[in-house]
Amino acid sequence: MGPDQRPKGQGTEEVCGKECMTIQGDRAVVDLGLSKVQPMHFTTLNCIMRMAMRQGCKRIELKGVMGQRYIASTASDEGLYITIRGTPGNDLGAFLNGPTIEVFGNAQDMTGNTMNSGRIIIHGNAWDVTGLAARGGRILVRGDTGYRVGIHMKEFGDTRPTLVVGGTAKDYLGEYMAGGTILVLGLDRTAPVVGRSVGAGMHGGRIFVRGTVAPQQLGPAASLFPLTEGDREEVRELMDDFQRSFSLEVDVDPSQFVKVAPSSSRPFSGYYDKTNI
Amino acid sequence: MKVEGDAGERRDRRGLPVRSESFTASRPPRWDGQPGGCGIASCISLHGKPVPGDRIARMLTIMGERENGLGAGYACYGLFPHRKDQYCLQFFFDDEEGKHRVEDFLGDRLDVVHDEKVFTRSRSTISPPYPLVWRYFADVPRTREWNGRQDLGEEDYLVELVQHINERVEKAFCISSGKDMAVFKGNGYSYEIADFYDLERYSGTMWLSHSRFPTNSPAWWAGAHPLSLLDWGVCHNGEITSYGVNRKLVEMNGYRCTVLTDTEVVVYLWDLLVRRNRLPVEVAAFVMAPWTFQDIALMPPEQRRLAEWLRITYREAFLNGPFSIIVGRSRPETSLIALADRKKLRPMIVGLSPEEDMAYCASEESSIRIVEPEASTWAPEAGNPFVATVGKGIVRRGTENPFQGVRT
Repeated sequence: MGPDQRPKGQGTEEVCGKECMTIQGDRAVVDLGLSKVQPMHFTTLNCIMRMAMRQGCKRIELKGVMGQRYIASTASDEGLYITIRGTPGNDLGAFLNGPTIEVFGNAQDMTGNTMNSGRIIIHGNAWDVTGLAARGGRILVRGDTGYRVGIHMKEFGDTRPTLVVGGTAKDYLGEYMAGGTILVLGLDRTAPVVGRSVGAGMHGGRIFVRGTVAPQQLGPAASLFPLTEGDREEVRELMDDFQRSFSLEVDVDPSQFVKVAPSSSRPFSGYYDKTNI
Repeated sequence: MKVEGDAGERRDRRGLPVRSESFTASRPPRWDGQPGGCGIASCISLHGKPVPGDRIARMLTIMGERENGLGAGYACYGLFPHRKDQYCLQFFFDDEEGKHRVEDFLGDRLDVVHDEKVFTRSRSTISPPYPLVWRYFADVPRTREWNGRQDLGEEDYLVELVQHINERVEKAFCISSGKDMAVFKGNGYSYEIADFYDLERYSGTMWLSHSRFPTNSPAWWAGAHPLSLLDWGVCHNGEITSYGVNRKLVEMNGYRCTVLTDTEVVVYLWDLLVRRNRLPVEVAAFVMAPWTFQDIALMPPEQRRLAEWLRITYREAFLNGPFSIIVGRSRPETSLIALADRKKLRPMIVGLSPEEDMAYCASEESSIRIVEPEASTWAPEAGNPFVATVGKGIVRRGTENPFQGVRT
C-alpha cells in the first residue's frame, strides 16, 4: 500500500496527537478536545495510549471521547486502569487482556468483543451485542443493554466470563452461549427484563434473570432450572461486585432469580449427526 | 498486478462486453479495507425551526468508519418555505444534452414556474466527472394525460413522469420530486458531498443523511442515498435479501426499479402502503418488519386478527434481511420515521435534546452526542418504528405495542 493510499487517520508515532496527553508520574490524561484533528481518529488515540503504556503509566484518563472505536483493544497490562468520559465507539476493549476500563457514559455496540480477562464497567447503557464471544473477564453495566448481548460467550477451565446488567436486555440474550454467566437485574425496569429467544442454541453457561421468564421467551435449546446453592452463591458474589462497582444498595434476594441453562450439551446434534454418536 | 478488461474481446454469455478490472496480488486502489457498514443520521426540529446543514454534516461525518467514499447524501425538508406548494424536481444531468431532453419531455406536461442551477463547487476531491445539478419548481396542470389516461391524480401522474425520465430519458436522472424538500447526494465521502453542495448555505426543519459502504450494488451518483420519490426520502443501512419478492410487488403496482440498489423498493413500498393504500405509519412498519406467527399468536384477539390479516395481505411487502432505515416525508406534516428489522441486526439509536425541541436518530450514539452532548438517548425496539413530527413532537418512541393508537 503506497503512502497516498494509507487509510485516513493512520499515523506513525511521530505525527500522532501527542499534544493531547499530559503525563504525571504513572498517570496520563488525554484530553481529546485539544487534538489538532477533530474528531481524533481511533488509530491516533490507540497510538497515544500505547505510548503511555510503554512509558509505564498505570492510569490513563480519557476525556471528550466521541465515538472512537477499538479503544484499549488488546491492552494486556493487568494493573492498568482506564477511565473514559464521553461516548466510546464500537468494540470498546476488544480482546482486552487484563486492564480495567471504567466508562462514565453510554457505550456503543460490541463492548468487550472477545475479551480475555480484565473488567469493563459502564455507568450508563451499553447497546447491542455487548460481551460477544467473551472468553474471560467481567463486564458490569449499570443501565440497559440491547440485542444479542453475551452472544457466544465461552469458558474453559477456571476462565469464565461474567456479564452483569443492571437494567434490561432485549432479544437473543446469550445466544449460542457455550460458557460463562450472565446476570440481569432489571432494576428500575420499565420494560420486560429480557426479550425473546433467550439462550437460543446455548449449550453451556447460565443466565440468571430477576423475575420471571415465560416459556415462550426461551429460545430453542434453553430451559428454565431452579437455582442450586452454588448458583445462589455466584449470584450473591456478582451482586456484591455490582453494588461495590456502582456504590449502590441493591435490595434483591437471590430467590427472586430464575436460571436459564442449556437443555442438553449438544442441542443440535440431531440436525447434523444422524447417528448421534 | 492489474489487468484492464478489454471491452473489445471479453464478452459474457449474453454477448455484453465485460469491463471489469482484475486485481491479483495488489489491492484495488481506494479500497482501504476497514470494516464498515453504512451510516445513517437524521435530525428534526419538533417546533419547526430551521436547522443549518452543517449540523447534519457533523452528525454524519463523525461516523467515518461506516463509509468508504463510494456514496453519501443528504435530504432536506422544509427547505423552500416560499415555494412549498410546488413540486421541486431535482435532476442529475450528464451534460447539457440531458437537460434539453428533460426540458423537451416536460414541455407542457408540467407547468414549470421557476428553474435554477443547484450550487455545486467546480473543484472537489471527488473524482470527476460531476453531474450538472438542476432543479425545477413546477405545478401539475389541471388537465393532464399519460398513456391515454386522464384520471390520474396529481401525485400518481408525477410518479409516472419521474419514472419515465429515469427509465427512458438518457443522460438525466430525477433524484427528488417532492414538495418543500430536496436531495443532495453523490459518489464521495460524506464530508466531500457536504462541501460539494456547500450544505452550510441551506437550512430546513428536518434532515436525513446517509454515508455508504456499498457491498452488493454499484457506486454511482444517482444510486447514493437518500433515495426519493415524491416527498418520501429513504436512507438505508443493511441489505434487503427479499429484494426479488418486494420488487415484484412494487412492479405489479406500476413502479419501475431504475436505481440498481435494493433500497429503492423500500421507497416504493412506503409510497404504496402509506400514500396509495392509506395505511397508518405504524401499520406500514409492521407490514415491513412483522412479528413472527408464534408471537402474533400471543397477541390479544383483536390485534391478532389485524396482524394476521396484514401478514397475509402484504406478505410480499415483508422486508427480510438486516436493515435499519430512516424515512422522511413532508406531507401531511414533516415527519421522521426510523425502523430497524425485527431482529435489530443493524444499529439504531434515537435521542432527544434536553429542551425537547430536537429529535435525532443515528446509527451510533456518538453521532447524536457530537451535536447534542446532553441528549437523552434510547434504542427503539426491533421492528418498532420511532416517529417524530414537526408540531406534534415525538409520536412514537419505538417501545410501544405494535398497534397502539390504531383503531381496528
